[in-house]
Amino acid sequence: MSHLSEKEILECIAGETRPEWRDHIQSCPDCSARARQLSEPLRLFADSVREMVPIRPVFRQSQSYRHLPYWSAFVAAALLLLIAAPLFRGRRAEVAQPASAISDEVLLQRIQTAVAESVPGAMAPLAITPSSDSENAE
Amino acid sequence: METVLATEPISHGSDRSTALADFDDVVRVHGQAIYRFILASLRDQDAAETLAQDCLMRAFQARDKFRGDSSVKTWLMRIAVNLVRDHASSERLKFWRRAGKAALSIGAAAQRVADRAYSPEAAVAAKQKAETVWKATADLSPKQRTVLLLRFVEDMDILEIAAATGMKEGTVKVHLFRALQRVRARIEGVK
Repeated sequence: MSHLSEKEILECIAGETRPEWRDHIQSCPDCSARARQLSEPLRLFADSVREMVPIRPVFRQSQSYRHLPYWSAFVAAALLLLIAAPLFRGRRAEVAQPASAISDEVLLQRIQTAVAESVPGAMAPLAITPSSDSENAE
Repeated sequence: METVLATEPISHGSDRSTALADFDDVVRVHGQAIYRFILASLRDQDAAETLAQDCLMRAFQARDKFRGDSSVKTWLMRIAVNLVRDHASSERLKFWRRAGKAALSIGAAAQRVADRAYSPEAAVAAKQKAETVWKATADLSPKQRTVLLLRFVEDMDILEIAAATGMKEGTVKVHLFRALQRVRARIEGVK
Protein backbone atom coordinates (compact mmCIF):
# COMPACT_ATOMS: atom_id res chain seq x y z
CA MET A 1 0.00 0.00 0.00
CA SER A 2 1.29 3.46 -0.87
CA HIS A 3 1.60 6.18 1.77
CA LEU A 4 -1.57 7.82 3.04
CA SER A 5 -2.53 11.18 1.60
CA GLU A 6 -2.75 14.26 3.83
CA LYS A 7 -6.54 14.03 3.65
CA GLU A 8 -6.50 10.42 4.79
CA ILE A 9 -4.19 11.22 7.68
CA LEU A 10 -6.44 14.07 8.77
CA GLU A 11 -9.47 11.80 8.57
CA CYS A 12 -7.68 9.20 10.68
CA ILE A 13 -6.94 11.82 13.34
CA ALA A 14 -10.53 13.06 13.17
CA GLY A 15 -11.68 9.55 14.02
CA GLU A 16 -12.76 8.35 10.61
CA THR A 17 -10.23 5.58 10.55
CA ARG A 18 -10.66 2.77 8.08
CA PRO A 19 -9.06 -0.52 9.16
CA GLU A 20 -6.58 -0.49 6.26
CA TRP A 21 -5.49 3.08 7.08
CA ARG A 22 -5.03 2.22 10.74
CA ASP A 23 -2.98 -0.85 9.85
CA HIS A 24 -0.85 1.17 7.48
CA ILE A 25 -0.14 3.89 10.05
CA GLN A 26 0.90 1.26 12.55
CA SER A 27 3.29 -0.39 10.10
CA CYS A 28 4.62 2.65 8.21
CA PRO A 29 7.07 4.83 10.22
CA ASP A 30 6.73 7.69 7.73
CA CYS A 31 2.94 7.94 7.91
CA SER A 32 3.02 7.31 11.64
CA ALA A 33 5.38 10.27 12.10
CA ARG A 34 3.18 12.49 9.93
CA ALA A 35 0.10 11.57 11.94
CA ARG A 36 1.94 12.14 15.22
CA GLN A 37 2.99 15.65 14.13
CA LEU A 38 -0.63 16.69 14.47
CA SER A 39 -2.05 14.22 16.98
CA GLU A 40 0.55 14.90 19.67
CA PRO A 41 0.03 18.70 19.84
CA LEU A 42 -3.70 18.06 19.87
CA ARG A 43 -3.32 15.64 22.77
CA LEU A 44 -1.16 18.12 24.72
CA PHE A 45 -3.68 20.87 24.03
CA ALA A 46 -6.55 18.65 25.20
CA ASP A 47 -4.62 17.75 28.37
CA SER A 48 -3.99 21.42 29.12
CA VAL A 49 -7.70 22.18 28.76
CA ARG A 50 -8.73 19.18 30.89
CA GLU A 51 -6.57 20.31 33.77
CA MET A 52 -8.34 23.63 34.08
CA VAL A 53 -10.54 23.95 37.11
CA PRO A 54 -12.87 26.82 37.98
CA ILE A 55 -11.79 29.29 40.64
CA ARG A 56 -15.24 29.25 42.20
CA PRO A 57 -17.62 26.30 42.40
CA VAL A 58 -19.37 25.83 39.08
CA PHE A 59 -22.82 25.47 40.59
CA ARG A 60 -23.44 27.84 43.48
CA GLN A 61 -27.19 27.58 43.88
CA SER A 62 -28.29 27.06 47.46
CA GLN A 63 -28.86 23.37 48.03
CA SER A 64 -31.45 23.90 50.76
CA TYR A 65 -34.46 25.11 48.81
CA ARG A 66 -33.88 24.14 45.23
CA HIS A 67 -35.80 20.86 45.56
CA LEU A 68 -38.93 22.67 46.79
CA PRO A 69 -41.70 23.21 44.25
CA TYR A 70 -42.36 26.78 43.12
CA TRP A 71 -45.80 26.93 44.78
CA SER A 72 -44.17 26.52 48.19
CA ALA A 73 -43.29 30.24 48.00
CA PHE A 74 -47.01 31.10 47.72
CA VAL A 75 -47.87 28.84 50.67
CA ALA A 76 -45.18 30.50 52.78
CA ALA A 77 -46.46 33.97 51.82
CA ALA A 78 -50.05 33.00 52.68
CA LEU A 79 -48.99 31.67 56.09
CA LEU A 80 -47.08 34.87 56.77
CA LEU A 81 -50.18 36.91 55.92
CA LEU A 82 -52.37 34.79 58.20
CA ILE A 83 -49.99 35.39 61.10
CA ALA A 84 -49.34 39.06 60.39
CA ALA A 85 -52.94 40.17 59.70
CA PRO A 86 -54.33 39.78 63.28
CA LEU A 87 -51.26 41.49 64.73
CA PHE A 88 -51.66 44.42 62.33
CA ARG A 89 -55.36 44.72 63.18
CA GLY A 90 -54.61 44.78 66.93
CA ARG A 91 -52.02 47.48 66.42
CA ARG A 92 -54.50 49.66 64.54
CA ALA A 93 -57.02 49.28 67.38
CA GLU A 94 -54.40 50.40 69.89
CA VAL A 95 -53.60 53.51 67.88
CA ALA A 96 -57.27 54.46 67.56
CA GLN A 97 -58.00 54.02 71.28
CA PRO A 98 -56.74 57.40 72.74
CA ALA A 99 -59.20 59.46 70.64
CA SER A 100 -62.23 57.53 71.84
CA ALA A 101 -60.93 57.51 75.39
CA ILE A 102 -61.63 61.23 75.86
CA SER A 103 -64.74 61.58 77.94
CA ASP A 104 -67.77 63.47 76.71
CA GLU A 105 -67.48 65.98 79.54
CA VAL A 106 -63.91 67.02 78.65
CA LEU A 107 -64.80 67.20 74.98
CA LEU A 108 -67.80 69.43 75.70
CA GLN A 109 -65.63 71.70 77.81
CA ARG A 110 -63.12 72.08 74.99
CA ILE A 111 -65.90 72.96 72.56
CA GLN A 112 -67.29 75.59 74.96
CA THR A 113 -63.89 77.18 75.33
CA ALA A 114 -63.43 77.30 71.58
CA VAL A 115 -66.86 78.85 70.99
CA ALA A 116 -66.27 81.46 73.72
CA GLU A 117 -63.24 82.86 71.95
CA SER A 118 -64.04 85.91 69.76
CA VAL A 119 -61.32 85.03 67.25
CA PRO A 120 -59.36 81.85 66.76
CA GLY A 121 -56.31 81.55 68.97
CA ALA A 122 -53.91 81.92 66.10
CA MET A 123 -55.47 85.29 65.12
CA ALA A 124 -55.59 86.74 68.61
CA PRO A 125 -52.53 89.05 68.23
CA LEU A 126 -54.01 90.57 65.08
CA ALA A 127 -57.33 91.17 66.84
CA ILE A 128 -55.66 92.99 69.75
CA THR A 129 -53.32 95.28 67.76
CA PRO A 130 -55.93 97.44 65.91
CA SER A 131 -57.89 98.12 69.10
CA SER A 132 -54.78 99.22 71.00
CA ASP A 133 -53.84 101.50 68.07
CA SER A 134 -57.24 103.17 68.16
CA GLU A 135 -56.97 103.78 71.89
CA ASN A 136 -53.64 105.57 71.35
CA ALA A 137 -55.22 107.74 68.65
CA GLU A 138 -57.95 108.88 70.98
CA MET B 1 -30.63 36.38 20.84
CA GLU B 2 -32.61 34.01 22.97
CA THR B 3 -30.98 30.73 23.86
CA VAL B 4 -32.90 27.71 22.72
CA LEU B 5 -32.92 25.09 25.40
CA ALA B 6 -31.76 21.70 24.30
CA THR B 7 -34.85 19.84 25.32
CA GLU B 8 -35.71 18.32 21.98
CA PRO B 9 -35.35 14.59 21.81
CA ILE B 10 -32.11 13.26 20.39
CA SER B 11 -32.12 9.64 19.37
CA HIS B 12 -29.63 7.62 21.40
CA GLY B 13 -30.10 5.17 24.20
CA SER B 14 -30.09 6.13 27.87
CA ASP B 15 -32.24 5.66 30.95
CA ARG B 16 -33.93 8.91 31.83
CA SER B 17 -35.18 7.85 35.24
CA THR B 18 -31.68 7.38 36.62
CA ALA B 19 -29.84 9.95 34.49
CA LEU B 20 -31.10 13.05 36.30
CA ALA B 21 -32.37 11.52 39.52
CA ASP B 22 -29.70 13.21 41.58
CA PHE B 23 -28.80 16.56 40.08
CA ASP B 24 -25.92 17.02 42.51
CA ASP B 25 -24.39 13.97 40.91
CA VAL B 26 -24.89 15.47 37.45
CA VAL B 27 -23.09 18.63 38.56
CA ARG B 28 -20.27 16.64 40.12
CA VAL B 29 -19.75 14.45 37.07
CA HIS B 30 -20.28 16.97 34.25
CA GLY B 31 -19.71 20.39 35.84
CA GLN B 32 -15.99 20.49 35.09
CA ALA B 33 -16.47 19.39 31.47
CA ILE B 34 -19.05 22.11 30.90
CA TYR B 35 -16.75 24.70 32.46
CA ARG B 36 -13.65 23.75 30.49
CA PHE B 37 -15.54 23.59 27.19
CA ILE B 38 -16.88 27.11 27.74
CA LEU B 39 -13.51 28.35 28.97
CA ALA B 40 -11.64 26.94 25.97
CA SER B 41 -14.29 28.46 23.69
CA LEU B 42 -14.37 31.95 25.21
CA ARG B 43 -10.99 32.18 27.01
CA ASP B 44 -12.54 34.26 29.75
CA GLN B 45 -12.65 32.71 33.21
CA ASP B 46 -15.37 34.97 34.58
CA ALA B 47 -17.60 34.38 31.58
CA ALA B 48 -16.87 30.66 31.70
CA GLU B 49 -17.90 30.40 35.34
CA THR B 50 -21.04 32.46 34.76
CA LEU B 51 -22.09 30.50 31.68
CA ALA B 52 -21.29 27.14 33.28
CA GLN B 53 -23.50 28.15 36.19
CA ASP B 54 -26.18 29.30 33.76
CA CYS B 55 -25.93 26.06 31.79
CA LEU B 56 -26.42 23.89 34.87
CA MET B 57 -29.23 26.11 36.12
CA ARG B 58 -31.06 25.82 32.80
CA ALA B 59 -30.52 22.08 32.78
CA PHE B 60 -31.88 21.85 36.32
CA GLN B 61 -34.95 23.88 35.41
CA ALA B 62 -35.55 21.84 32.26
CA ARG B 63 -34.71 18.45 33.78
CA ASP B 64 -38.32 17.31 33.59
CA LYS B 65 -38.22 17.78 29.82
CA PHE B 66 -35.15 15.59 29.41
CA ARG B 67 -36.39 12.42 27.71
CA GLY B 68 -33.19 10.45 27.94
CA ASP B 69 -32.89 10.08 24.20
CA SER B 70 -29.29 11.29 24.36
CA SER B 71 -26.67 11.02 27.08
CA VAL B 72 -26.77 13.61 29.85
CA LYS B 73 -23.39 14.92 28.76
CA THR B 74 -24.59 15.44 25.18
CA TRP B 75 -27.70 17.19 26.47
CA LEU B 76 -25.67 19.48 28.74
CA MET B 77 -23.17 20.18 25.97
CA ARG B 78 -25.98 21.22 23.69
CA ILE B 79 -27.09 23.81 26.22
CA ALA B 80 -23.46 24.93 26.67
CA VAL B 81 -22.92 25.21 22.90
CA ASN B 82 -26.01 27.42 22.60
CA LEU B 83 -24.89 29.60 25.51
CA VAL B 84 -21.41 30.04 24.02
CA ARG B 85 -22.90 30.91 20.64
CA ASP B 86 -25.27 33.47 22.16
CA HIS B 87 -22.50 34.95 24.27
CA ALA B 88 -20.17 35.29 21.28
CA SER B 89 -22.84 36.98 19.19
CA SER B 90 -23.92 39.36 21.91
CA GLU B 91 -22.77 42.86 21.04
CA ARG B 92 -23.00 44.15 24.56
CA LEU B 93 -20.49 41.64 25.85
CA LYS B 94 -17.83 42.26 23.22
CA PHE B 95 -16.32 45.07 25.26
CA TRP B 96 -15.97 42.80 28.26
CA ARG B 97 -14.36 40.11 26.15
CA ARG B 98 -11.68 42.57 25.10
CA ALA B 99 -11.20 44.13 28.50
CA GLY B 100 -11.76 41.01 30.58
CA LYS B 101 -9.47 40.95 33.57
CA ALA B 102 -9.95 37.21 33.89
CA ALA B 103 -8.75 36.46 30.38
CA LEU B 104 -7.18 33.04 30.15
CA SER B 105 -3.40 32.90 30.04
CA ILE B 106 -2.50 30.48 27.27
CA GLY B 107 1.04 30.21 28.60
CA ALA B 108 -0.21 29.18 32.02
CA ALA B 109 -2.57 26.64 30.49
CA ALA B 110 0.18 25.12 28.34
CA GLN B 111 2.58 25.09 31.27
CA ARG B 112 0.43 22.49 33.01
CA VAL B 113 1.30 19.84 30.44
CA ALA B 114 4.93 20.96 30.34
CA ASP B 115 5.23 20.32 34.07
CA ARG B 116 4.71 16.61 33.44
CA ALA B 117 7.51 16.26 30.90
CA TYR B 118 10.50 14.09 31.73
CA SER B 119 13.18 16.61 30.81
CA PRO B 120 13.48 20.39 30.48
CA GLU B 121 13.80 20.04 26.70
CA ALA B 122 10.66 17.92 26.52
CA ALA B 123 8.86 20.42 28.75
CA VAL B 124 9.71 23.30 26.42
CA ALA B 125 8.63 21.29 23.38
CA ALA B 126 5.37 20.18 25.05
CA LYS B 127 4.53 23.72 26.11
CA GLN B 128 5.25 25.05 22.63
CA LYS B 129 3.05 22.42 20.98
CA ALA B 130 0.13 23.03 23.34
CA GLU B 131 0.47 26.80 22.92
CA THR B 132 0.50 26.48 19.14
CA VAL B 133 -2.80 24.61 19.16
CA TRP B 134 -4.25 27.11 21.64
CA LYS B 135 -3.35 29.93 19.26
CA ALA B 136 -4.59 28.00 16.24
CA THR B 137 -7.99 27.40 17.83
CA ALA B 138 -8.34 31.16 18.37
CA ASP B 139 -8.24 31.63 14.60
CA LEU B 140 -10.89 28.99 13.90
CA SER B 141 -14.49 29.86 13.17
CA PRO B 142 -16.80 29.35 16.18
CA LYS B 143 -18.26 26.18 14.64
CA GLN B 144 -14.86 24.74 13.82
CA ARG B 145 -13.62 25.50 17.33
CA THR B 146 -16.70 23.96 18.94
CA VAL B 147 -16.39 20.78 16.91
CA LEU B 148 -12.66 20.51 17.57
CA LEU B 149 -13.09 20.97 21.33
CA LEU B 150 -15.90 18.44 21.57
CA ARG B 151 -13.94 15.89 19.53
CA PHE B 152 -10.51 16.16 21.11
CA VAL B 153 -11.10 17.57 24.60
CA GLU B 154 -14.41 15.92 25.41
CA ASP B 155 -13.76 12.75 23.38
CA MET B 156 -17.20 12.88 21.79
CA ASP B 157 -17.76 10.99 18.56
CA ILE B 158 -19.19 12.52 15.38
CA LEU B 159 -22.78 11.49 16.16
CA GLU B 160 -22.61 12.93 19.68
CA ILE B 161 -21.14 16.17 18.34
CA ALA B 162 -23.93 16.33 15.75
CA ALA B 163 -26.49 15.90 18.53
CA ALA B 164 -24.82 18.50 20.77
CA THR B 165 -24.44 21.13 18.06
CA GLY B 166 -27.60 20.47 16.08
CA MET B 167 -25.52 20.00 12.91
CA LYS B 168 -25.77 17.15 10.46
CA GLU B 169 -23.15 14.43 10.67
CA GLY B 170 -21.60 15.46 7.34
CA THR B 171 -21.42 19.10 8.42
CA VAL B 172 -19.61 18.12 11.60
CA LYS B 173 -17.06 16.17 9.56
CA VAL B 174 -16.46 19.12 7.24
CA HIS B 175 -15.93 21.55 10.14
CA LEU B 176 -13.65 19.10 11.91
CA PHE B 177 -11.59 18.46 8.77
CA ARG B 178 -11.15 22.18 8.11
CA ALA B 179 -10.27 22.83 11.73
CA LEU B 180 -7.58 20.15 11.60
CA GLN B 181 -6.21 21.59 8.36
CA ARG B 182 -5.82 25.00 9.96
CA VAL B 183 -4.27 23.61 13.11
CA ARG B 184 -1.81 21.59 11.06
CA ALA B 185 -0.92 24.64 8.96
CA ARG B 186 -0.21 26.55 12.16
CA ILE B 187 1.95 23.76 13.53
CA GLU B 188 3.93 23.55 10.30
CA GLY B 189 4.30 27.33 10.27
CA VAL B 190 5.93 27.24 13.71
CA LYS B 191 8.56 24.69 12.66
